[in-house]
Amino acid sequence: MCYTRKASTVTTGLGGASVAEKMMSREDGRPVDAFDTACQAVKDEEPGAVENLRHLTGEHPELLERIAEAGDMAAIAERRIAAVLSPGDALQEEKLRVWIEATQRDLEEPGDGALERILIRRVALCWFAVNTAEVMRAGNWKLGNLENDRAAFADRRVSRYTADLLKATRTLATVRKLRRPVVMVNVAEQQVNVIRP
Amino acid sequence: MAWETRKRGDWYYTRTRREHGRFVREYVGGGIVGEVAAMLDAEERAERDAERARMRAEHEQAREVSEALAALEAVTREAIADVLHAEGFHRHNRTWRRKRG
Repeated sequence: MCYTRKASTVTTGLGGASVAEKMMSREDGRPVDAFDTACQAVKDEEPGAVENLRHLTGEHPELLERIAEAGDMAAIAERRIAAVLSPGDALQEEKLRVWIEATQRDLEEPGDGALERILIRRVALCWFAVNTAEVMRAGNWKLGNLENDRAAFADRRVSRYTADLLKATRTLATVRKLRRPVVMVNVAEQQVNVIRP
Repeated sequence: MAWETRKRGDWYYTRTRREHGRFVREYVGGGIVGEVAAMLDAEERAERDAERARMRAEHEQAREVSEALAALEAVTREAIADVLHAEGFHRHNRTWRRKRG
């Protein structure tokens, strides 16, 4: 799948090759992805990987701290949601963990970095919350004990979680679209920027 | 109190409810009739209390989940802003754009 963007008049005026070089050079400055790759290299026990990781951590300490904080918060949110929705039920908690991992795998795309993975985890959590709220609402309907107050509350809860899910999905799509490498193609002297999936 | 003591010394069961902002007392009866009415009322009250507790628990559950998701959203928003700024993007009218040049 390809996303196409209309070329601006400025880039068309500059000519294909030079603009392409400029655009490709912008893709280099991605400390978070470099950090991600360095972490993987450390896990794979590649030579010099630890030194590289230390170097990157020293270069962008705040940024990497922020990503780590977001990752931690995702783990905390997952634990909290599991504890709230299935209190004291280890089997349910394990089912949640497995479901979230499977959903994350389904949503991951080649080229996703650390930031995208955190956003995917958020989408999976929101999705789980929507599913649970819908199951609870359906369960109440089945029991026939849905009074006006409870019905309104169940509907409100489903709506709120659905809004959260849509927001999370939109954010993930935006970040992916922005961070994808841009490739430029000139067709009959018309420049078209193509974002690779 | 639901049980009233009469001058004769026996007990009489009454119910009190609110109607248009006023308290209205309904006189049900004494003896076995009063006891049965009291038992039924107690059961109904227990059911209402349980339902209220269930609702409270559901509200609490929903609040906790919303809080967890909101906290995650706040942190990811900051992370996105930092990462995109570091990668040469800027925000214009609430939209992220790549810097020119």
